Amino acid sequence: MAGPEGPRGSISQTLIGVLILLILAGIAATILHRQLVYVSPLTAQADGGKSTGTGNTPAVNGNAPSAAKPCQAEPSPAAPLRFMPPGLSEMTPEESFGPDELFEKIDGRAELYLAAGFVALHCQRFADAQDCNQWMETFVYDMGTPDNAYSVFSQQRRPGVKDSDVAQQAYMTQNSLHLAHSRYYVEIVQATPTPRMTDAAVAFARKFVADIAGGGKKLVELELFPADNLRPGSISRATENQFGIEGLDNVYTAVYVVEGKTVTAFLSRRKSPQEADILAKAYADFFLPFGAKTIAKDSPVGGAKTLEIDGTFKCVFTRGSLLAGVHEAPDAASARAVAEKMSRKLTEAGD
Amino acid sequence: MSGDERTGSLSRREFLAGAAAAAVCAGAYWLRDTVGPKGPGQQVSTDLPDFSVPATAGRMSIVTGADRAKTVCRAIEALGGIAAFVKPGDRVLLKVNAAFAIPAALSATTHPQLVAELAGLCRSAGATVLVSDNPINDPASCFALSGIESAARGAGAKVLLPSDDQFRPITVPGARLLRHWPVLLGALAAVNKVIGIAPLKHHQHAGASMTIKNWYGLLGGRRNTLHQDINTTIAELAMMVRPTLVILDGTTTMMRNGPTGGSLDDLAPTHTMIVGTDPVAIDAFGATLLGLRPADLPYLAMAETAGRGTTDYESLKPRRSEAS
Repeated sequence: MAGPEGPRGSISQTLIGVLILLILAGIAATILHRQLVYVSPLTAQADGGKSTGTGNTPAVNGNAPSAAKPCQAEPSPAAPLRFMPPGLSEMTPEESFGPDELFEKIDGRAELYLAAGFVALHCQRFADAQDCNQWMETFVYDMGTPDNAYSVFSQQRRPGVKDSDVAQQAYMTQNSLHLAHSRYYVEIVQATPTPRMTDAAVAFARKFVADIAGGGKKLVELELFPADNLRPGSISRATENQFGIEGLDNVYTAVYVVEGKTVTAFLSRRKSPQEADILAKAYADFFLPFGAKTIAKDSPVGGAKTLEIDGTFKCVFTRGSLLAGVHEAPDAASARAVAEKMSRKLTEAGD
Repeated sequence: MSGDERTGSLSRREFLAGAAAAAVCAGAYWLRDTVGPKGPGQQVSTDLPDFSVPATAGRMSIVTGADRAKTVCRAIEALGGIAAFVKPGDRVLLKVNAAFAIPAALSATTHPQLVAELAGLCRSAGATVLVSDNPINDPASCFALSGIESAARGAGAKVLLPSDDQFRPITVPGARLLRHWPVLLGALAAVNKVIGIAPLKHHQHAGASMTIKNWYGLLGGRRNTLHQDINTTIAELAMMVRPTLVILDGTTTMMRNGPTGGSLDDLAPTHTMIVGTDPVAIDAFGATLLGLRPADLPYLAMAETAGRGTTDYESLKPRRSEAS
């Protein structure tokens, strides 16, 4: 109601006034509600990401959950328990970790897996049923694709180890067995290496390979590297910014030994021949500001560009959608020799 | 000017606007955050106490040998003996690296033999000893499977497993990342001396994990977010803790696939124990055992710039000896 001296308000003014009050009341109610469920930045840090709604929720101390706590309602097809060999028993329940929690299991090593497309980790410890002091921990990393699984397998391969026959991509160290099969990378680590536990690790791996489909085919890129002079176990796959060159991902490298000289070759499948050409130019251009010089001599490899920088030699070329070359060779002759073999192999493969 | 104002009385519009403004002010006052980001019931500390012993500043020793008990004793003796650092009645925290629930043989955690040796030395100096860490994995499993718990208890030390109520937020002066960050004050507030014992390891992300990175185990919360700027984080850890002594165990070094490793093939027998009061210098020397230069680890230069030590470890004239 207007004051006795003022003009009388219209109905529209009254409605606007009521509307404003209702809006203000709504804002106040919203603020109140948000305040009641407010999560301060500190709490968000300290609660270990409870709001992420993951199965494995760490506490304020940021630890992984107790190993005594089962973590999944739906067992994964790659759950380690499925592959537990006879003679072992469960030492701890299975733990599972997604991309947001992988750090809680493997800390700084998580970067490698996350960059390679990590999906999930399932791990569990098993003990010798007769001697609980003998145990092993199994890690099954779901990497999403066989390429990604090979990436983490190859990048962590220990030097000088021998291949194992449990899978096409597998090796054993003094106390551990590592394999890439289908979309999975598997590590089996013995607490103390003993023949009995080594047998159990092999049995676990064999059952895994037998039960998980899709690991029979070899990665195509591995077949595209010429076998002559190839150092066994040297083919590795990087997922991003190989050689420091932005955008150069999905790169396989291999080490050749030519007359005692070490030569590193590379191969990368691109989406199209055009993309391969663009990256070949980017590869050569990348080294020019660092003093690289183009070697003008005719190369036996059609379309190849050879560079020399600080006494090392590089060569890059394309074959269809494949980008290939030699990243590092001690002289031009060995660079050309390996590049030529690669070119021939790629042509034969008709890829 | 309106006719209302001319008459000096309120119009309906002015009344509503005034009432709304008053309601907003009252509501804002009522809804204000009286607790702040520190959370209810928690005091924000601005810094940790200085645990160093001024008279021992800049001391460093390097002892070669395969027997941890012998090398660490020789190294401490070269610095003036445990009595130079620990007095009767002191309460000592042995900050171990118990990050992972894996056996000691894999060298990803502080070796239990060192824990037992240090606990024994401190107790012989008349101190009580607490052993703690906030591991990456489940604390109980980590302390048990690494062998640290039994070694500590066997040497008469107490083991403190971290729990939520032992963490309080602190802000490291001058830090950009470690602000209002939960820290294991439950352990730190109970002691007046801190000795860090770290294994020498490759670290996939940071390059190396040594005595400064070992303080990461004092942090709570979502620590993995700190990996986004790992060099600043480690430098700020150096700013956070002024220890009594640090011990870098390079008896067996994890040369690759750190910080977890997992294979004995990742390890190399480097047979070196490095002990001192300057964590930057200790870690700078440790880098060389990994085949790195101190300059390869940016956080060392950052910690040096922050005044927490020198990367020129030779300037400290480290005492070198062999313990066979």
